[in-house]
Amino acid sequence: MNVLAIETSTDWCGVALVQDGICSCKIEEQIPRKHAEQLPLFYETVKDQTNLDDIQLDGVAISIGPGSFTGLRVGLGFAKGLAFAKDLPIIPVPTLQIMASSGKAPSDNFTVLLYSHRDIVYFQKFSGLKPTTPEKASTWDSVEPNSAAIHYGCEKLLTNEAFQSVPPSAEMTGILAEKHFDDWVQDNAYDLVPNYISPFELGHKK
Amino acid sequence: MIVLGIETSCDETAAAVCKDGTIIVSQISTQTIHRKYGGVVPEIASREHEKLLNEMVSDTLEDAGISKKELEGIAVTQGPGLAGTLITGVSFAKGLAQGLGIPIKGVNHLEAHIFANFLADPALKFPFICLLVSGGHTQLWHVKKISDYILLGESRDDAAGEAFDKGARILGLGYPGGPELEKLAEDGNPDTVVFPKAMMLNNNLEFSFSGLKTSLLYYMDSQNNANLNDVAASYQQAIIDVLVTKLKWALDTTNCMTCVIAGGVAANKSLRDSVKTMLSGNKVIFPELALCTDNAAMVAYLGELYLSNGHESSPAFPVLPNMKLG
Repeated sequence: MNVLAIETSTDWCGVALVQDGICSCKIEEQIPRKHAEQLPLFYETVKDQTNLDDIQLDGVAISIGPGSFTGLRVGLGFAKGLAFAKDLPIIPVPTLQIMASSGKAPSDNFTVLLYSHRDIVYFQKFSGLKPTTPEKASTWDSVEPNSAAIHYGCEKLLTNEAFQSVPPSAEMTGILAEKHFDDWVQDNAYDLVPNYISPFELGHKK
Repeated sequence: MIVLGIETSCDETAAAVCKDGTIIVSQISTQTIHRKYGGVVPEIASREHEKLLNEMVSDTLEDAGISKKELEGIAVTQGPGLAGTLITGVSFAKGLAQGLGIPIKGVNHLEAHIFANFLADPALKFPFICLLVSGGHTQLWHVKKISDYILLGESRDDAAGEAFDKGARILGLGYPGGPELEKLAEDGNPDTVVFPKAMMLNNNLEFSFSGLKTSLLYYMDSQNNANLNDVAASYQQAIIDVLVTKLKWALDTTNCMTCVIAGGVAANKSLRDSVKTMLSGNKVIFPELALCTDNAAMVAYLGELYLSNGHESSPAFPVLPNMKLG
């Protein structure tokens, strides 16, 4: 199976080609606010290095959120354009699960924390590599992560410095997309939208 | 050359196909969700574009009887507009262009509005004066040839369309307010209330409409039983008088004989009538309504013009919410 994966949910931006569980090419860089400009160049590089036009892709995998609104917008917009051009399905991959699958989790039961804004974080609890709670957004105080967690972007909120920083990667996006292909694949993904976890219910300025 | 145009600069999701200078299909979907907020909410607008755009492009191609493999270029609005909505359209357009392996051109929305007039009147010739009046802009352009534009004057504060919308809000009308205010004004006497007209001396081609809106606010506060038809008619006439007078000055200053009116406010019938009366000696072009408001036909048309002359954008071109022209 061949999957082109795109990850733009944080200030990192990545494109990877995953073939039968192995990443054969990837470009990943931390480029805050430059996703709309750089993502097409990353894609072009991967395309050139892998002779992508000669490879029959099975789908375009996209890290679907939660995460940076603009980042997700750029990634999914680009993925939709690409998938539409090449008549490919899209495989939306949950961003927190990408982080959870990084291999950096400190124990079997752990929390994944992704910074949103002010003191708001996205979080989800995992057991093994399976999510045990839905993705949620909440203030840092009400999350109260226990001793086992990985995070991205939460440096200013952290009370436990043992938590490791793990940005979601395009490589893992592709690997998970292959693994869960049958469950997650969307053939007509025209109206697919990022999993923003609605902001209109939280974070209103007082 | 067959070019697909995509427009997502504000609350219109639009796609069009242009082939050798002729629009084959143009589709526009105006987001209605913003009505309940009394104005466009950028984050909501971006999300609506995300839901609509892909299907709209697919439908547009189908209606045009063109397969995506036949496309030779993509044109997309690069700016000015809302950052989030622009980025939605541009990202999709980039993915599509790269997936198809065809060139892409980021198009200036204002320039596209000017070129919408060539769709309205293919006999239009350079040079001409363009009065661009929309919710975001009030500008007078001296259009000498493609890529050669001189800004003669623009609004220092509110755009004319904004003055219509804000005036409508003060009068308790719905959103979008411009057409509502125009409807109310139809049965009114425009000579009832004297509203201020700013910067009307010495051929000054700059505009200012914020004082007008404040004046309406004070007037309404001071009146208990104002005839809303008369007030709306007077308010509208104050805006139109300024626009038409300055358009005439611009024509006189540049010795141009032709003028075109672009942007959403060009749909206003009283404006059209006033321009025709006051500029009877000039050639005046008003594009049809679907070409006045935001649309992708003008984007596809201008994009094809550039792309067929070898002017393509780098895949890394940025979104420019404050993009300027000239």
